Amino acid sequence: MKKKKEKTVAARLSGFLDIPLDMVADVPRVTLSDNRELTVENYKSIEAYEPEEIRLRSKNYRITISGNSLQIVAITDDEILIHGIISGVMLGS
Amino acid sequence: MLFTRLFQFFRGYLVITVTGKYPERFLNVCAGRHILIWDLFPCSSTVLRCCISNRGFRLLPPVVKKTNVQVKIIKKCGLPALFDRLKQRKWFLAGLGTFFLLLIVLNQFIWKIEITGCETVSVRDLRAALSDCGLKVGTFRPFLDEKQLQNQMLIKMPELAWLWADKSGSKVTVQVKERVPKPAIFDENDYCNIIADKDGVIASMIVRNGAPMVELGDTVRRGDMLVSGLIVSEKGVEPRQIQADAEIYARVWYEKTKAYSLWCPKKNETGKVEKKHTLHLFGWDLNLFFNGQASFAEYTEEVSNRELSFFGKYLGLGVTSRVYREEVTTYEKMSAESVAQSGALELEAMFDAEASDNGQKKESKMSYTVLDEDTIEVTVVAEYIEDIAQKIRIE
Repeated sequence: MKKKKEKTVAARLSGFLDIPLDMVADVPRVTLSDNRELTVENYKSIEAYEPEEIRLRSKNYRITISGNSLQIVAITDDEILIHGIISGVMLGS
Repeated sequence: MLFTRLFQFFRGYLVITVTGKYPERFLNVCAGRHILIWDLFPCSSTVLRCCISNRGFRLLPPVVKKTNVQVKIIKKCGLPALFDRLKQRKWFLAGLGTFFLLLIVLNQFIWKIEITGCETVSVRDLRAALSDCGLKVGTFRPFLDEKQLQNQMLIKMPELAWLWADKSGSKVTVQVKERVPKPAIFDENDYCNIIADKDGVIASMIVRNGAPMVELGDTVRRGDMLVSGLIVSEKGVEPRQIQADAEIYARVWYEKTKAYSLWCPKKNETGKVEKKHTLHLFGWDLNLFFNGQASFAEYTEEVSNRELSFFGKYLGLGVTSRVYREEVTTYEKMSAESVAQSGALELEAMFDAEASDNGQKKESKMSYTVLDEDTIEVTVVAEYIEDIAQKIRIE
């Protein structure tokens, strides 16, 4: 219940001040360049890593990246860079 | 990512495989502990290949223990690993060291002398003079004093006005400027007449000294007296000689006739190319071919020089490449008008060369006659206004 309230406040603040949501709240930011490169910021952990699918855990939901020849090019504690032929990005709990 | 890879190459990195039930857990722990890993590739569901920095690898044991995986080094990469491998190849290192030592020693000598700016002075004479003054192929570079060379050369070759020698590695570039010959200056006490240098019609006269012998509009032939240096007085005083001085401009006509063929040659490349290379090794030229001539009857030649240099300093090694491209000449019949136009331009260029430097072209007329179906005769008459005065000393 507390979590839901916090999210609402952050979202409201972001909307009110007209600033990106990922700056005020700890939400993931997914950047896709063409279908070749994908960057995920503010992720929590890697759940699975296979050439056809990579599953990442973020604060509130799971990010599933599907495609071919997927490769994690660089990884830091809050950012991950993926190269390959990306066919889909799915968000789910 | 390029900079990260470059940086890690200099610091050294390892390619490892991580084997375990959950290699993803290993990745998460590494990321959490700020251990840099990159270029991850899953070989199978339990095996992961990745790159890790040397520093990161030293931090791995607690991670390996915690995540229960096995880490195996596949390859050592980067500069430190390269040096480690080189340490085992002592003869190779010795050869490399000898090569650089020889290169440094041989670079202390002059292997190439480039001369620019020669117009009337022959390059061969200049090279011989430079050799006498201490600059030749094989000269020990630190012993070469450019200032002294410059002074010696200017004394040795009075026809040079200026010389500059620039050392750049094993190459010396010598730039020269030739002395302009001094004009014939008459002594004030000399007596002289002014005669016509060319045939023409007098257009304007400025007589500063002397007795004019012609008037405006007069037609003069080459050698005719224009201004006399002998002043004859009417009052019975003895004639006296002076130095005549005048500017006399005349209308001078030039006429030339030349036959031109209507069949103009056109050169086309056949696509056949022949290359010949010459290696320059510390003053020695090594031809990498047997026959110095191109095997084509008609060809164009392109010469390109490549020099091995280090930070702009010539190292004594170079290659000269000659590329010969075969050509065939085909003849194309042009219109009489276009051939006449191009012929007129050629003849006018000849007039410009014949006319004196201060001459000005007033007008030019071109006409042509067709001699036969393949040949025309082009005639050009051009009128110039030029100074025709020429001083002649009275003996």
